[in-house]
Order: sequence, then structure tokens, then C-alpha cells
Amino acid sequence: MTTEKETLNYGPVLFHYDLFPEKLERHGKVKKVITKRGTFALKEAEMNEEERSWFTHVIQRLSEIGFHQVVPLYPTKFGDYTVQLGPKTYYLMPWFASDERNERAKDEVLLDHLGKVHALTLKEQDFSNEVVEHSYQYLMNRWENRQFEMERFTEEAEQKTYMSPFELTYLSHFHQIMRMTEEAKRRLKDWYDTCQREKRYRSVLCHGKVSRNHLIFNPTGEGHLLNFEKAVLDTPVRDLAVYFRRAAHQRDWTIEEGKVLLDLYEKHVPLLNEERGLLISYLSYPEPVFNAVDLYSNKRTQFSQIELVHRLESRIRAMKKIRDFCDAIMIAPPPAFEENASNKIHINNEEDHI
Amino acid sequence: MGLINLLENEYDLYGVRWKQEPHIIMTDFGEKRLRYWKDEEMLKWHVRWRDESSKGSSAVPDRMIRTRDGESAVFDGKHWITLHDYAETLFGCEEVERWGQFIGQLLTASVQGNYRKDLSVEYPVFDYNHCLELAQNYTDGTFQILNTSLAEAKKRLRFADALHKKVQNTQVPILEKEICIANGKRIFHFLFYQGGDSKPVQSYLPIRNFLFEWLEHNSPLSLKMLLTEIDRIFPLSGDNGLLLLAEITTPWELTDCLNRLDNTSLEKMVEGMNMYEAIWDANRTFLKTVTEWFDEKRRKVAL
Repeated sequence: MTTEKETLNYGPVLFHYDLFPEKLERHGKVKKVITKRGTFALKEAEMNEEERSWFTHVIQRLSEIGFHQVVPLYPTKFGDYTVQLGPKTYYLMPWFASDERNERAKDEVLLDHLGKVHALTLKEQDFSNEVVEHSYQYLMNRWENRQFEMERFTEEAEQKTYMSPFELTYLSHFHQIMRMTEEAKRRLKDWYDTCQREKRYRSVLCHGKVSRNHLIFNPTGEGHLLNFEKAVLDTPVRDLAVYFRRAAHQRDWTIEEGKVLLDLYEKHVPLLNEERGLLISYLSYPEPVFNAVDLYSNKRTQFSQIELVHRLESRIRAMKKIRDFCDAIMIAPPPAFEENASNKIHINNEEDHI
Repeated sequence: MGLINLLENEYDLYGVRWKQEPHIIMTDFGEKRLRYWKDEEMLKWHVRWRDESSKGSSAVPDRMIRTRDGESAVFDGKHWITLHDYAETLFGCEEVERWGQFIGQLLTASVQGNYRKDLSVEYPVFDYNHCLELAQNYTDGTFQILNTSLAEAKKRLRFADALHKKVQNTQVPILEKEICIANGKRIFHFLFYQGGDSKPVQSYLPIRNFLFEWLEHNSPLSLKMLLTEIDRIFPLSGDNGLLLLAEITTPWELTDCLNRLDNTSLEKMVEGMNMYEAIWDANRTFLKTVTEWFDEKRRKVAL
């Protein structure tokens, strides 16, 4: 339902589009705006000036390099692609109604689109020891600090006469979790050594927030990506790790399904051996389990013990699936990238900028 | 092709008709205002200050609506024509915060905008000698107030000059010649500021005049609140504040007071003197309020 107050609140934003809402519906951070001129999606975000400018640049550049499966942004009557009001940034898109029939194909379309975006923006970077060194040290330090926190949590729990169900569950999986942590660190070190040896690494335009929720289908059934607010130039593995880690948490997700989806992605961007290793490293690191421990430590009063235990168990289950998935993808596919590399359109090929 | 057709084609509008030829039209997006420009450089400046001062502000100036090709103006063979939103409901002075944000943002954009290049601007200069010439007709004892004010004006001018000399390397904003309360309109609940099309001035004078107008409509406390709000966006504690203070100290009202005097009849003379006194006093209050605000601010910082 729309209240007069809500219309007034969004009036200053919609004024930039000369839209007068008949009805506003809240869908999370998106407002469905129904007007005489059509139905629109108004997204509310928090971005600084640099982020706004990068965001609109990404959307425009994707279109320029031939990727059109992005939900377009409507310009305001003043030619801007975002509206800044106080701390909030708004942008307007067409409203695509969700189509249940396409839900099953969502993951395939998502990985296919991701592969296309990565392929179109793939760039072999000039090797910079400083960048590689910094990335490696930063992540390794972060992981080791987290590991240390978890070990401390374990020691404290072990000293208790009566452990809580959460602590008991955690401790019974502790060694396995630590093995995964060590595996992640070892893989990360391997990636670092390979980069040093091969003097290469690749970057793509990463979506930054890959999720099924960020793919929607237009009325003709064509999937479109949205929410490029966190887009960033980084290793292709970044997006893949975010996707597979999230996917593994779905109850019905299987390793076979994961392999099919990774193959689908690799039709566009076959991973290099060190990238595959880095993906396994990212996925192996049990951050979701550590986050569950953080939640227990910091906000245990907000949740019941059983809820916290269920959360932890579900994450441990997902990590087991991830471990099996990592084992399954460890065998490197034949290298196909080199042949295609020269035919790629690079998002950065003009003055080395996206 | 007529103007209406040109507008319909360039702006993707339908059913355009005149409401008030040649400035206001009715469109399927509501009423819009047209502005006509002969000088392209000036047009560019007017586009820029409107665009820049709208960034992050909850007040919206009447920016140029873009054509379907994203251009800020269309050329009809004689002029550049720009299309703007149009509103009639006055915003009023109740929402000091919004006015303060707008003026602060306007000043920030004007100082940071680097507008100077290729732009012809005016520099208002106070001419004390011209005031002395005007005052020559009123030198006898009957015009004691005039002589007192001339002396006071000279003192203020010296003070303003000293302030100017102190901050010689600070960027002075380039602004529209007239910034006034009546240009503030209300759309939904935000401040929509209708700018003009005049040649810009590089001076704090438009802000001085706006602040003076504010005091005419509101209390000294309200003026202080306005200055505080401006200060949040555009800090007035440093050189910018001194330059504004210099402009406020400059006795601009003296010329105005003298021009209003008319010695053709006793009645007009009395009326003129009363007016002179009123304007002079109002400016004194203005100057006092602003200097008080600066003192209070300095004291707060010192604490």
C-alpha cells in the first residue's frame, strides 16, 4: 500500500524522472513504482561519489562492449543515472515481474552470464610483484588472525566444565575445520608461488555480489543481471567463490550440479591451473563456520541455542559439500584459454581502463 | 518548423502548448519554463552551476532538462533554448535548514567549480567617491544623519578593505547576480530554486543581499541559524567567512539610500530621509547580527 507520506518521501527522487506514483510497493531495498507511464523499480543504495560514477560507468561500458543482459538504468530528465539525496543514492530500472517458470534455470543462466561478462572483460595484467605480494599477505594475515580467534574460542570452551550444545558441536568438528583452514592457506601459498614463477595473473570485471536474486527475467524470458553496485576488477575466482559458497548452502545442491555449472562457466573463461587452485583455496576457507561462531559469541542472546546449533551444523554440512566439490574440480581441464585469448573483447582494452 | 514542434521532437514531449508565451509551456510532464540564450559561454556557466550545486543537496535548482540526445539546450537558428521545471508555490522561510544547505552547496560549487575560464563576469566595486558626489546636495545641518552615515560608511569601508587585503589568494565565488527568497519554490516538500539567466558576478555580494533579505523577512536569530546551516556545508570560519564579512561590512546600502533622496519637495524630502534612516538602521542590525554570529562561532571554537 502507498501512503501519502511515502509518496512525499519518494517525490523528490521521482521528480528527477518526472514520475508521479499512483502506488508504491516495498520489495526489500527496491520500490515498485506504479505510474501512468508504466511500472518501474527504484533501487535505494549507499554509494559515495566515486562508487556512483564507477557503477554507472560499469553499466554503460558493459553495453558498449556488447553485453546487453544487464537491467538498464533510466536516466533522469537531467541526464544523470543516479539521484543523490542525503546519504542515499537511487536509480531507476524497468520492473520485471518474477517468473516462477524460469526459477529452475536461474543458476545456469547466472553462471552463463557471469562467464560472458568475465570473458568480455578478461585481461592478463602486467605482472606486479607489489600487487601480488600485497594481495597474498593481506589475505593470509586476515585468515591467520581469524584462525587464531577460533583457536582461542576452542581453548576457552575446552576449559569449561559444562560446555554449551553449540560449543560441543563446534569442538566435535574443530579438527576438520582446522584442516580446511590449513588446506586453504596451502592453496593460497601455491597460487602465490605460481604467480611469482609464471609472472602472470588475470583480472575481469567481477559482479561483486553474485546471487540468484541478482538475476531476473524480462517478459520475453531473457535473464538480466542487476545490482552492479559492488562491481570490481579482480580475479574471476572472486565471483565464482561467492556463488559456489552460497549455492552449497542450499539443501538440494549437489556436487554434480556444481560441476555442470562450473563447466558452463568455463566455456567462456577456462580457468588457469593457479586460478582453479585459488578457487579451491577461497572455497575451502571455513569463513561461514567462523561467522557462525562470531554470531554465537556476540549475539547469543538474540537467538536460541538450538537456532545457533542448527546454523552451525548447516554451515558445517555445506563446508563438507564444498570440500567434496573442491576434490571433484581439482583435476584441471585441458587449457583452452590461450587459443581464444586474442579474440576476446576486453573491457579494458581502450587505455587500459574499463 | 515552429518552436513547439522543435521542443516536442527534441524533448520527446507531447501536446505542448503555450501557457504564457514565450516563457511557460504546458506539456504531458507538467508546466515547463523556457529560457533563451544568446551567449553560449554564459549558457554553459548557467548549466554548470545548476548541475554542480544540485549534487548531494536536498534542494534542487532548475537544472536544464536534457534533450533525447542528452544535450542541455537546443538551437533554433537564433538562440539557444533551454527547458526547465516550473513551479509557482513559494517555499517560504520556515525551513532554514534547507535554505542553508542550498546556499552552502551553491557556494561550494561556485568556489570549486573553476568556472572562470573563458567566462565574462562582473566584479561589483563599491564607489565611495560617487556617494560623496550624490551627497553634495545635502550637506547642510538638516541632513545630520547623512553626514554621520557617510563617516560611518568610510570607517566600514576601511575595515572591509583590510579584510580583503588579509585574504587576497582565496577564490571568490562566481554567482548569479540575484539570489532571492522569492525564487525558492516548493515541489513536494523540497526547495526548488529557480535560477536566472543574467551575467554572473564574482563576489559575495549576491549572498550578502540574500542574507539581508532574509533578515528583512525573519528575526536575527533566524539569520544566525541560516548562517550556521550554510557553515555546515561551506565553512565560514576561514578566509571565505572573512570575505563574506568584508562584503557585508562594505556600505553598499549608502548608494541606495542616497539615490532615494529627493529634494524637489519638502514632503518627498521627509519621506526620503525616513526611508534613508530605515534602510541604514536595517543594515546596522544586519551587520550587528552577522558579526555577532561570527563572534559566537569564534568563541565556540575557542572553547
